Amino acid sequence: MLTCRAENFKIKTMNKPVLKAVELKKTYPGKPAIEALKGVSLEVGVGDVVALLGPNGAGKTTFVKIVTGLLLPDSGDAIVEGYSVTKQRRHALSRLVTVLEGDRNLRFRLTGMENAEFFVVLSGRKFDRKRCMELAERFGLSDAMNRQVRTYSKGMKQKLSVLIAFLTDTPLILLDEPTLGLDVEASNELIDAIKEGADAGHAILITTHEMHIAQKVSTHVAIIKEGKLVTYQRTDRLLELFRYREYLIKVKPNDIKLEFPMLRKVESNDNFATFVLDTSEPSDVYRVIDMLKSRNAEILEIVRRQPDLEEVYLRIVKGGGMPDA
Amino acid sequence: MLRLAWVYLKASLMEMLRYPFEMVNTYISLILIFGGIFLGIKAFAPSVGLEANKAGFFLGYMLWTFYLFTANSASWTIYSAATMGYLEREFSSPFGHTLIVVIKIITDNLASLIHYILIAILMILIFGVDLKLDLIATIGLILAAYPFFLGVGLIFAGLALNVKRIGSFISLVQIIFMFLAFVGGGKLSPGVVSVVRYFPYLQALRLAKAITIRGVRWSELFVSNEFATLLATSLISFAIGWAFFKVMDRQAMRKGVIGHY
Repeated sequence: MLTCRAENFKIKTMNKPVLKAVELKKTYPGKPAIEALKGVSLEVGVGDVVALLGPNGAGKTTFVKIVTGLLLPDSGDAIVEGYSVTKQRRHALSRLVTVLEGDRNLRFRLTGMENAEFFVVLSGRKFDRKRCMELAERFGLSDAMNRQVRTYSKGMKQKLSVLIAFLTDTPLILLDEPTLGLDVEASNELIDAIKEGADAGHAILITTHEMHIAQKVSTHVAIIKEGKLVTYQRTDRLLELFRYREYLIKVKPNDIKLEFPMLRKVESNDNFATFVLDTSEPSDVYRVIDMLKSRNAEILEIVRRQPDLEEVYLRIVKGGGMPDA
Repeated sequence: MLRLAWVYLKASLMEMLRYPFEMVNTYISLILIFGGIFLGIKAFAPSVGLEANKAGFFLGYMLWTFYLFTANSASWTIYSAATMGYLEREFSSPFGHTLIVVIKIITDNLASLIHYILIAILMILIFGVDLKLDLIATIGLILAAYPFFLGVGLIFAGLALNVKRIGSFISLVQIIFMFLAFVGGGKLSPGVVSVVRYFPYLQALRLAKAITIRGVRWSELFVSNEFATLLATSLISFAIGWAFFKVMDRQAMRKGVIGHY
């Protein structure tokens, strides 16, 4: 079990973490040089599904590439089950498998089964045909395993890539945008499969821009912005932190103007206006109610909002930062 | 590691068979190039006496095509895997980048060997090459020269990893190797000859001619100083290629360009 402290993102683990990234720094040379990571540390434990979020260029891919041994950090290290990716490469990389974004995980002129054998052996593991067929059944690919991958749909290719990752059976699985471009049904199937993988004891790190997917699948959320880890929390805890801050207030008439700190109009239609009050103090709500009454406004609804991960993410990334714990 | 080599060999063979158009065209183009050069020299430069030295010419050509298969496969294997996207996936393997590339080149070459032998047979039949050679000596020669080709392949692979498109550079080197295959170094100035005499490619050519033209047998070849020198320089070339690839790979890992194309 992990416990997270919002104030400094240091994670206490009871179990030895499967992945431990320590102060990873990376600057890409060039003119100008690009400082992609400015000292990122995080840990992923057994059964965790960590969603690594951040805007484009925030440093997510750099982080994943360092962990998978494709990129050398300037300083810091990534430790997989106690083995350093930079110094004990073979040991570290034999304990992880990566599913890269898009069509980059398969050889199109090979069949599904041939791909599975190829990539499992490439990861230094023994290929188990029977287990492969069991997983193919689970992923709904059993009829397609003897067909060349070039005949697969996008969803089938993605499912096969994830199937191979689970078949490889490494302690750490890295999934880069696993649901990108998939329809809802295929996405949900993958989400279920990822959850099952975590339940089976894999530590899973996902990068994604799809917040609803991250919310559904993750146990923890890490947000990177401009090369720095902005927050690393349990997903439910993060949502909880923001929950008590927002009140949605619907009022008539729709053209009413209110001046109050942390109050903003978010919508105005023919019938009413909607305001969001960004506060954790109930007394602020009462003050706004008093203000509305003094202007003879009709209060239609006051709701304490439960923001979804997308809203929380946008709030953190676009300013605002983290609320006090 | 043997399992890894096996899956690579299987993948190479499968992909080769599943791109039949490319395979047939490789056959045709290699035979046409040989025919073009051979018949061209015969028609326009009869004084060269090609007919009398047909076997040597043929062996030079085969050595050059062998170089083509090895070196091209090395750079192509990097470039195509990067464009198709799975290079990063391959390079996150615990086996390490250099070993993966070496296995890729060797298994690609083994898969190409079928073509290579078929092309050789076709050319012998089409152009009536009278080849009397000691098979054991020939295989021994190829094995001794192979580390050199592998070394060159690793240099190309290392370059491809960093600068990506090296097709024109490969073509340039191909022309130099073609020149050496047909001229054999003998027409070069003495100064140049003293420098290139230990170049494994030329040593292999000299020994190939010794096997075909002078009828040197394996029992003589394997105990000769020339063969020992070839083996040594070939292994040194491989070590240089390996070290060069390591440096280039590290540079690509620092710059973060492994998956680029």
